[in-house]
Amino acid sequence: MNREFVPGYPEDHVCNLLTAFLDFSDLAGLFNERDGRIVQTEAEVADSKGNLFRIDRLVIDPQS
Amino acid sequence: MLEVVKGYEQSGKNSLRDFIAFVSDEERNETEWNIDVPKDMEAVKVMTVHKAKGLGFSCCHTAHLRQVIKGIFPCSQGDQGHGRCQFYALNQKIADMVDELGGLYDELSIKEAVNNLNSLYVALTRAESEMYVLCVKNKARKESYHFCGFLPLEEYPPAAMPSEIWPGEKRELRKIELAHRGLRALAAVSAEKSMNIEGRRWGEYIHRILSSIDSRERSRPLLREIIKR
Repeated sequence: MNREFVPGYPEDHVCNLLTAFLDFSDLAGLFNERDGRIVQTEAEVADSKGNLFRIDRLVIDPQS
Repeated sequence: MLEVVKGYEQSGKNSLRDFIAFVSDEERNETEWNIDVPKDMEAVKVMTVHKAKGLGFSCCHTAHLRQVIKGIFPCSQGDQGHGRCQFYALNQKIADMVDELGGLYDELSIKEAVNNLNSLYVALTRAESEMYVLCVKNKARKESYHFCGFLPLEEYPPAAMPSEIWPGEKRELRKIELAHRGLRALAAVSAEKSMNIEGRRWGEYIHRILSSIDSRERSRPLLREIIKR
C-alpha cells in the first residue's frame, strides 16, 4: 500500500465500520470461511468478447 | 496509434476484440487514423508514393525498403463456357516449366516493371529543394527490390550530408510559445469537486483494506493491523 496516499482516517472509526460491515452487511457471507472455498481478490478475468474485468472479491465454493 | 486507442476508449468501449475488429475495418475507419494538422503548420508528412502524386514538398525522403519479389503474380483466366474463374499464382519456376505460361509471365513482369517505374517517377519528382533516397540492397541474396532495380546505385555511392540545408532559402527561427497557460486553473478545485475527491479517496481506502481481508474470522483480530498496514 502506498503510504503517500493513505488518508489519516480515525483508526477506531474505520475498525468499527468494517467490523459492522463484516458482521451484518448482506455481503458478510462472502467473508465467511467454508470448506473448499477459494477466495481471490483483484482477480482479472476476460469474457468471451475480450472484455476485461477486475473482480474485487472472487469467491468460489465447491458444488454442494 | 495511441491516439486511436484513446479515441476508441473514449467511445465507451474497452474490448480488445472489438478494437481489433475496429482497426481491421479499412473502409470504415480510414479517417480515424488521420491526424489532422493545419496546412500552415510545418510538420513532417508521411504518405505513400501514390498518395504523394500531384503534391510537392521542399524536402522529401523516400524510403524504398526491401520488397522481395519472388516473381509471383496473381493472374486469372476466365472460363466463360463453364462459368468458372480460375486463379493462378505464377512464378518464374512455373513459367519455365510450362511454355504457355512463359509468355503470360513475361507480360505480367513488364506490367509490374512499368508500374514500379511510374511510381519511382512520382517519388523522385516531389521534392523542390532536397531529395533523399533510401534504398536497401542485399547483394548476397540477389533479390529484386521495389524501385531500386531502376536506380543506378553503383554510380552513386552514399554521399555525405550537405553542409547547407535549404540552399538559397533563409529561414527565420520561429519562437514557440506555450499554448496552455491555465495550469493554475487546473489546481483550483471547486467545493463540490473536492467532496467527490474526498469520497473517492475514502472508497479507495476501504477497498484496499477489504482486498487484504481473507475471511472475517481470521481478519477480525487483525483488522487494526491491516488498517495500520
